[in-house]
Amino acid sequence: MRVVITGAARGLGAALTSRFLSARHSVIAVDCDWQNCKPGAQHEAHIRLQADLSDPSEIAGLVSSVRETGSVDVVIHNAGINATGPFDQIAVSAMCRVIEVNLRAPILMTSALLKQQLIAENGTLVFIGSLSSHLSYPGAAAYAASKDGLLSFARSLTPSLAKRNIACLSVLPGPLDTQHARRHAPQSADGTGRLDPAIAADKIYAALQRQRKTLVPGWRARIYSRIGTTAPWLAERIMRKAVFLPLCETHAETVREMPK
Amino acid sequence: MNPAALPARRYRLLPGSRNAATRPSSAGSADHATSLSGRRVVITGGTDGIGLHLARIMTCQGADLLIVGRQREDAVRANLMHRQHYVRADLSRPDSPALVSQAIDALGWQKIDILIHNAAAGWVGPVEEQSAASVDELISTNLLSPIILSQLLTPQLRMAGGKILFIGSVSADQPCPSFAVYSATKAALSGFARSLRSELKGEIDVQVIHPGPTRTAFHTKSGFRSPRLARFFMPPDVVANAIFRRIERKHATSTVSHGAWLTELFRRVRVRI
Ligand SMILES: NC(=O)c1ccc[n+]([C@@H]2O[C@H](COP(=O)([O-])OP(=O)(O)OC[C@H]3O[C@@H](n4cnc5c(N)ncnc54)[C@H](OP(=O)(O)O)[C@@H]3O)[C@@H](O)[C@H]2O)c1
Repeated sequence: MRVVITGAARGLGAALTSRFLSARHSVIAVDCDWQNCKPGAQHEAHIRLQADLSDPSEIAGLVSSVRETGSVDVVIHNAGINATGPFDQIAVSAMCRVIEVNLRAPILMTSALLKQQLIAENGTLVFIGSLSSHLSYPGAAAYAASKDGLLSFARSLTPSLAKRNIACLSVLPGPLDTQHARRHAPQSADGTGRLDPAIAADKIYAALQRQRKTLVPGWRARIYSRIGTTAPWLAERIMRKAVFLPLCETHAETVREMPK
Repeated sequence: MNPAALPARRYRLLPGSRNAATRPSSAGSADHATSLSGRRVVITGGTDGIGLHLARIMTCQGADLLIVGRQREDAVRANLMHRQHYVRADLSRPDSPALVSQAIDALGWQKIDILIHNAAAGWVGPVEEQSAASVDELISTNLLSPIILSQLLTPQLRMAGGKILFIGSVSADQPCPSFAVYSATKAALSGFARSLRSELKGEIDVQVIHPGPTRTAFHTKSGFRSPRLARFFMPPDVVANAIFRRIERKHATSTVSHGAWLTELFRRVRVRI
């Protein structure tokens, strides 16, 4: 299989890359920043591309690079960024970037790949959303927006692409044990309960093999998902208490520590 | 046949949507508890369709309005009522929220009671045929501008203990292959509102109202022509009236559509799967 993975330098994207490479698939790994990454095995099966997905022209460039190598079987829209804090204190530019990278980029990329018929028959589009779609994410409303939009986009594509034998898989991971997630977690969070990205990658790989439509990886995430779907008010309370209020504290602290 | 000429009662909502538009408008009655006198309201996209009607209803209820639109001021001035102000800002452009904010400062409004995000752009067709510019326009108009504007106006809304109302769409939670990007922006808006509501609890109320198909120029503007289907759409004044009634309530989300409660139920079940 030929696989495109965005945001592949770190975190879940890196884990997915290893997972697919170890199963002898070829991977086109995309990221905006390859610095401080282990040098990848430079063989044909692993191509690294650099593209800043917040820029539409770089997405177009990325798609033409993909075209040079032929059509692909799996596209994993994994690249995602976050911006956390009290809503009125997050920089506008940060929120725009969240929407651009998490929502606009997968839309533009999917649209271009489909237009140029670069997705092979029996191919799959994988959308990495977030568990926040089953809960809420106070302290990261723009992020929650981008992920809800992404999953809605996947839902809309599913029936029309099914006619062309292209499948969609939506993934809703809870907190992962990645650098990025830790950076956006409240300071007080001890990191227990975060899912190892390697395990998440395994589960995504398996879901792909089984042609599933949605996946909530990990039992903790599934419990939260169940709470969110059956008792939204309870989920909202938990999220406010466990995420938002500590986030505000962290934010207040960083503001205090900032040199005047 | 001109769909606008059809009698309104053909669009009566099904029973069950008893709060919606089936009742005759009592918007003008003085004893109605929802009088808005002295309230300050900002509404985007108040130059056409649902927004135009909603702005009129709210003005009749005594509110002071700031209408945001992309048309030139001389083109809309004739339609403006007493106590309606207008600011020209094209919400598909990144500088527009700041323009709105400046207009509010110029009016000297230190408090805003209701901010209504109603303006939206649509595009109909398979996603691979949609240009990058159109994707960008939809995301900016329907999602980014509301987010930024909400942030800019948070201080004024806080002062009033006000409300942010997002006009969503029933399409947000249904698979819509022919307007995938539009529904994605509406779903995103609804996810944004859900998180923001929890964040601003006790300070600013956040509400989402999802209209069903409405007989406005929106569909033509989006490149969709289907006069036959449009016969079954609701008229915009009926929808605006139903939205107005729901503003006074505290429901986080509600739907204005044929058989609204059924649609809302369907929507809730769907979104949680
Ligand atoms: N019609 C439906 O079936 C339907 C169904 C569900 C939800 N909705 C939602 O209901 C809301 C109102 O829709 P509608 O049917 O009343 O549509 P409409 O008749 O087209 O009105 C939309 C309003 O938004 C304004 N607008 C559009 N793009 C703008 C921009 N870039 N900058 C500033 N203003 C802009 C329009 O200005 P112009 O007058 O210059 O065009 C107009 O005033 C929208 O949020 C829509 O998504 C509609």
